[in-house]
Amino acid sequence: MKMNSVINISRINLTYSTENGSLQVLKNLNLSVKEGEFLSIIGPSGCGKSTLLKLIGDLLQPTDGEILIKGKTPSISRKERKFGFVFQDPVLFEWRTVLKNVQLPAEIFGDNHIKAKSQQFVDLVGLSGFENALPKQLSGGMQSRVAIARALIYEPEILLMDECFGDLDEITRDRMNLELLRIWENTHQTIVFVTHSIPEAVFLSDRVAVMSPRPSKISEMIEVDIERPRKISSKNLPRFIEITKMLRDKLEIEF
Amino acid sequence: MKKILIVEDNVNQLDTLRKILSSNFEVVTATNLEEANKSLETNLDLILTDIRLDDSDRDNNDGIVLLAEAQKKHPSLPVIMMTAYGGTMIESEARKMGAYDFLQKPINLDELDDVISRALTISKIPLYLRCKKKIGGWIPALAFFVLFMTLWELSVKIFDIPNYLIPAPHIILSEIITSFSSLLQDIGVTMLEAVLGFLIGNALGICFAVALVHSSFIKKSVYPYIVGSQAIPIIAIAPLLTIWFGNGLLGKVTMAVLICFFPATVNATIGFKSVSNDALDLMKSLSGSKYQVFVKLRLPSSLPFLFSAFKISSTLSIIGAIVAELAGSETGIGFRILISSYQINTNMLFASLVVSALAGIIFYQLIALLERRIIKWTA
Repeated sequence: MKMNSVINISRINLTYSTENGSLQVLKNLNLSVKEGEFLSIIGPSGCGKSTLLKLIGDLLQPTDGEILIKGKTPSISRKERKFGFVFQDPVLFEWRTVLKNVQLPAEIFGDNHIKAKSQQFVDLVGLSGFENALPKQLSGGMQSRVAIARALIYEPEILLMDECFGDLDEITRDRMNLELLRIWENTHQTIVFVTHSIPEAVFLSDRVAVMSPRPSKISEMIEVDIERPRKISSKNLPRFIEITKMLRDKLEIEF
Repeated sequence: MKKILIVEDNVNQLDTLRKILSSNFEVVTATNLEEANKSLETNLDLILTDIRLDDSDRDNNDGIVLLAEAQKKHPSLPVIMMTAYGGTMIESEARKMGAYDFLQKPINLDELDDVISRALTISKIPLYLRCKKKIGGWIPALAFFVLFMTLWELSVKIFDIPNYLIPAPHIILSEIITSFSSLLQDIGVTMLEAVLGFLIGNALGICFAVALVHSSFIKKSVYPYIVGSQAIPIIAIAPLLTIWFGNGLLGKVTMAVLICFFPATVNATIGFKSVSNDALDLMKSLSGSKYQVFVKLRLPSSLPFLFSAFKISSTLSIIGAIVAELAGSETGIGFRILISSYQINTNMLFASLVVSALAGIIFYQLIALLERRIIKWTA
């Protein structure tokens, strides 16, 4: 398993020093993510799921321990544009149209080759016809799509997604999950997906990592052996219900 | 009986709506744009239409096409749109095109009832309501103006107030008309000073804010004094400026610069910092440079803040220029005010006030217009 893993995290610790003493967020956390895998991270609020994602993507640095992305440091990998981030909030630049938001990475890289593909990615996330709309004119689901297209446009090897459907209503969330799987089945990037929702994690993932409360580590790793391509009806499969229940039990123990 | 056209591609939903509405209305139905267009030729009182008339096609918005067609043929016919996805661009587009209201699917029956009865009563008198709404905005203000001027005019007459204390409005007006060209020349000089000061003051303020945001040393060492300097009564500087720069343009522009500098600095600083941590993380994940973060994120984020500074300093810059003129000058509206006060020429004083105020309003409105042109993304 180590052989074809893309992300290798070994024994990382993260401690914040605050005015009231130090706060250990992550303790001896190990995790490896395989190439092309869809891995979800689930855990109680405040356990440091988002923090872990930021550590992988070099938006934060661990106090100690090692993170390697195909043998390179997160910092080098970030500069090599290996990561595409999708945050909980879509973080759209409200003065830019949909198309211009999707083009943002290309502008920053100064890469016209990538820029030329923006329309293709707007189409991919199903926003054809909305190229010139401003973010405020879009619904929450559509805004999430823009954020995904913006992360996909430079075809990063690893997508880091942080509860990006958390603010959506359940119907829209289901639809976005299907869309995401459809896109992923075309691109087969490695996805690390942080979520609060057990059914969402099971529905999307190959494996679900369960995090313990602070100071956190990965306490369980569950394989989701439900056949792909998955449909909404997959949620009614006995196996789906079984895994969901198992996860719920694990999480309850953690609380 | 009122006649309602229901357009809905989902046959089950269409049937339900028909059953509900047919007890009170005459109902005609259509499942696609073509059928609906045919029904448009008949006499209708209301249209209830789905926006997407083909569920398999995500981009379908035939409902909007129908709305446009209906508006063209029967401008006063209310069209209620049904949609499964709230708050989308299509919805705001449809509103602009004159959709009467929106119903979110699944449809709430009370709401349906309510919207339909509202649409049917209002459609009888659409023009009346529209006029009332449009004129309603400025009529009270105009009425108050007329009332105020009349009272002023009458008071001057009734209480026999001498001209050199308070001239009647019509005298001020005739003063403006007879001295129009020289007033125009004076306000022109003052506006030149004000606008130059406005441009330079804001430019300096923004540059200084850039330095503040990027250097905590400047923020800690200089900024407290900038804030403290606001305690200095700016008017008291005017005589100094006259001593240093004489009676010419330079002193007046400097005064306007000083006045515009502070609001620009403060608002630009707040604006540059108004970016979310997520947005900064996003830029970092893309390895954006400091310059790119500034140009692509901080600067556009700060525009609404900058424009409120511009609006404040548009009028302040004129005040600055006039104050500097009062302290020593040979032209400008401030100079005219000074001379008129020596001559106890109250008519001219009032005329100068009116002209300065008008210039300030025009300057402000130009900035506001520019703001609306540039900032389209805020609600």
